[in-house]
Amino acid sequence: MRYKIVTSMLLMLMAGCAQQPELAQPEPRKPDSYVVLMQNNDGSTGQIIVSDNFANSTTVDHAGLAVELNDPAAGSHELDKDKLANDFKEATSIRPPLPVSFLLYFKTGGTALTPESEALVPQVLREVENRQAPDVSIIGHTDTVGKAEVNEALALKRAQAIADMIEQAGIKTKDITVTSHGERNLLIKTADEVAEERNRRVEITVR
Amino acid sequence: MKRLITAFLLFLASMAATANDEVIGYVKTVTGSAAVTHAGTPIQAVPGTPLYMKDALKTASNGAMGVTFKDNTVMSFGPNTEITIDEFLYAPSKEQLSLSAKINKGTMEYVSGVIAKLKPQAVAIKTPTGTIGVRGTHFMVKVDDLSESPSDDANESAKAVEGADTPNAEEQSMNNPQTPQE
Repeated sequence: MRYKIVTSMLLMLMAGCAQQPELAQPEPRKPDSYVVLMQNNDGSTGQIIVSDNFANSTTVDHAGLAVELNDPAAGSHELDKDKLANDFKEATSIRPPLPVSFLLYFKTGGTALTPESEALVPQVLREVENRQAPDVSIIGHTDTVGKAEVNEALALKRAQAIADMIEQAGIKTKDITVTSHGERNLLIKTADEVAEERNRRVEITVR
Repeated sequence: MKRLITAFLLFLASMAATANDEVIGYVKTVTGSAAVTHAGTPIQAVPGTPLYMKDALKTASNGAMGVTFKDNTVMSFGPNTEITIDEFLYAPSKEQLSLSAKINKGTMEYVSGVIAKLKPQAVAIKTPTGTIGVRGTHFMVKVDDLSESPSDDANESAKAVEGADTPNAEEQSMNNPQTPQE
């Protein structure tokens, strides 16, 4: 008799076990998936357009407003600041420094920097040196004095001169990309054959 | 037959490698465990790891990573994040501008670069449920992964390793995080 009870209890237990996964199915959790628009570094705010796969969408242009990814048609809402800070604390603290650009200007016809730009060189070098795994792009430009082909080559020489400067300072980079825009990309629009000091430049981007 | 398949897979891999051999950016910052998968091969990410089109980026439960692209786009990822860089074309002189990435799960902070400035409609960040269009901006996105319970992180790597085999039903139910033990 006693054995019988134990056996039937065991059977009940086993039956219970087998059924349990079904019974214990948790309520489907609501996904916590959202996007929140932030202010840009320069104080401006852009825009995001959040769409689902059924062409429902919401456009957001105010910093701090969030849209639920699973229901963009519901529109945007304010997001709790503590929740935002907590959800993104790791992503934000690992964010690499934003790329920085410099313009250096040249004396006419060659690769010699103006005195003002020469004085900026240490700051450029420091920016490269202080970054982890830096990569640098350097674009050379000229004004419109002289032939376009000659200016194409001169602009490349200017860019290369800055690249050499970084290398000669012994600063390690992942890569330095040197390109020439010749006289094709004027900072100050001028007619052909116009000497314009602000067009004789290189644009350095440090990433 | 097996050898043929292997040769074919290698051929595919080499095609993928030659099609995407241009560096589009670099890993700049890493903490904990994070990986970049290029042409099917995952490697541990360190500052300076190059990125190519079609790469998959992944952080572990203790990991975080930041990357900077050639157009100055900056992305940083919190733990348990998976994202693929599906397309990155940055050749303004040829008017080739495009950035498309898909975040499958996790958290990302995004700061747009030159592509978004020159051709906003060419930038799309996809999520499992839709798309985020970008108009020169900075945002944060979180994709909640409902297929795992929050405490299941430790099993992640083990599962990935076993991924090649099809687990039998018993293993599946044992691995199912939503099956209560009691």
